[in-house]
Amino acid sequence: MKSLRNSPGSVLMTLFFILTILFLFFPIMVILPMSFSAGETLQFPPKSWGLRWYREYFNDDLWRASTFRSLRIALMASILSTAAGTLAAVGLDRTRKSLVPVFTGLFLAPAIIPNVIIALGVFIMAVWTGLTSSEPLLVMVHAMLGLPFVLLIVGAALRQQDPSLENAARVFGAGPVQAFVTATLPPLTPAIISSLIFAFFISFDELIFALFVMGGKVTLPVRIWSDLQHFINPTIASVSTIFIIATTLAMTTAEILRRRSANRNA
Amino acid sequence: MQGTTVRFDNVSKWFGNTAALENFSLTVAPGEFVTLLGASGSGKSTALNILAGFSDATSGDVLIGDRSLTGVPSEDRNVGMVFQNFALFPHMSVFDNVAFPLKMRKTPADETRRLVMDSLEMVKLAGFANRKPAALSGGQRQRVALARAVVFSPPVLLMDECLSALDLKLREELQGEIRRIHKDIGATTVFVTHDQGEALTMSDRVAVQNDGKIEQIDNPETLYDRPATRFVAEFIGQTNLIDVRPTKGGVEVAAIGTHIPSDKTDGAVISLRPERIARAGQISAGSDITQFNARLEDTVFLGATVEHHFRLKDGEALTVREGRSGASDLPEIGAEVALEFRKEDAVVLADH
Ligand SMILES: Nc1ncnc2c1ncn2[C@@H]1O[C@H](COP(=O)(O)OP(=O)(O)O)[C@@H](O)[C@H]1O
Ligand SMILES: [Mg+2]
Repeated sequence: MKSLRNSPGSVLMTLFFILTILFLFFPIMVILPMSFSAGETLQFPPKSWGLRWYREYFNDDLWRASTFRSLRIALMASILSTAAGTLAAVGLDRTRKSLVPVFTGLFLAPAIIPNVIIALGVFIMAVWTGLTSSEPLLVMVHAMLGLPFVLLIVGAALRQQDPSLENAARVFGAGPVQAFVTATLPPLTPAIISSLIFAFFISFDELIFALFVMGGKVTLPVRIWSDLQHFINPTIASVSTIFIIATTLAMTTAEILRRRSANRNA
Repeated sequence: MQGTTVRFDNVSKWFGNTAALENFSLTVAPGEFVTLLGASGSGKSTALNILAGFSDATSGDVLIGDRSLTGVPSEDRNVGMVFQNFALFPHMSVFDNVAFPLKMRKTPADETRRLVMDSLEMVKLAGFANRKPAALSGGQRQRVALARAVVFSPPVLLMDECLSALDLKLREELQGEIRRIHKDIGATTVFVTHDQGEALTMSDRVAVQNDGKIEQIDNPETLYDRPATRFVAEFIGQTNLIDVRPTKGGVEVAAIGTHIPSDKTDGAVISLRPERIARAGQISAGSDITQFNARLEDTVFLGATVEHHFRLKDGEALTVREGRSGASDLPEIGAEVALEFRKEDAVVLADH
């Protein structure tokens, strides 16, 4: 082992690893310090430090409105997406084998077809139906984007689950709905919560669809995007920092839950 | 608690154009322990699933007592079941798992508590009530599954290969326990296994299943001593099958040079158990005995017994098993040995 560790190959590997990490973390490492700048413009490194731009963010009505709008949409979209995706996963589990690939393909399509293309379709539909700048429409679109992930996460947990659990509940006296709710669903809880978190952030940081259909009602990503185009304001750095920290925490939680559900049923 | 009659009445189950069960008829008496024995794919689970209500028969009917189960959902059939891979609810404690059938039946809390603890005591797991299934060994999980299946005193108890996932020692221990519990509660029991030894030790009667049909149903002794078909003779225990030719009043065994009396006119083989053949002079006189010579090729030590592999004069192999008491004067390899058996121990079978 010792000789391997010091071989030129392993030194190169280590170097490659460090460079990759640096590359991936570079944006965060730049943005994080910039957000604590006390200056007027985005500076790196900042000449003076302070929480000025965080205050700016929290006190600005427009920033706040777009943040709450994004949170609201993400919450509803993730609930809708998780409910539909869980039922889809359960349905697929009980579908005739020959039809499963067809349905799986349909459900996963939103994750494969380029978003701009779907967004164009959604935009045309929104114009036809007069649903431009409609939060419910964006909720449904975001729910669609989350669906493939819910289907994959809950579907994987379901495949690990013993299919006779529901039969057991039935034979011991539970009706079909009761058996589903008492036997099939509870062991899927970690996977379902994990799906909720994934779906939430898929909606929360989604830009393209919101740009196409939301018009005047801007979401947080749209606000950041348009600010970046007009003037470089350090508020963006503080918003981004909050965004990054919240996303990292939530995604880590989701991943822990997903792994736990995979291990428990193994 | 007294068991109820269970009856399969000409049940068939088709998956596409293969029959998992074909004209399957079986009546299990109240309190009886009947085992469905067959190789994997012979339709045992299909039969049990139809009885439990997990799938519908294509034709025919299943009855518990006098009541037809056609159209009756699982939850209204009042049967207990032990599943092959336990099927314990992973998110519930041992207590809640066992209490589940009682909860569904809206049993009052104090009675539930008493019945659950009685059940857990019966399977020697009273101290484990608060554990989650994940914190139990395989044998303990199977015991919990058993406690859950009987806690509500069902008149009918079903078990689908419920011991096959366990190692041999545990399996034997649980076989005894299941027998004891069956005696205690008296539920009519349908047990499914592919292990013929397990079927013989546990059952009042065994139904040998092959390709969705019952080949023979009898008590273990009859099944072993008087197999009805060539398939049963080969599936249960070990046997010598020797080709024969039908003659008047029986069959002619050319390889041994003897005639076995039989009513069968289509006899094609005889089944002769290895332990029913002895060295000449060891079987007490009085019965119709036939003697012959065979050449010893090999002797294998099996612990309590030894197994001799002989070659008959027409080249057919013959296995003979004897207790170790005779081991001191083992014949030499290559020697011609005189052997004998009672003609009544040879079972004449058709070739199908
Ligand atoms: N859901 C099903 N779809 C198609 N074929 C099935 C299904 N269930 C069982 N079979 C077939 O029916 C036959 C009997 O299966 P099964 O009852 O599970 O056998 P056993 O329990 O004796 O191993 C097998 O050939 C199996 O492939
Ligand atoms: Mg089976």
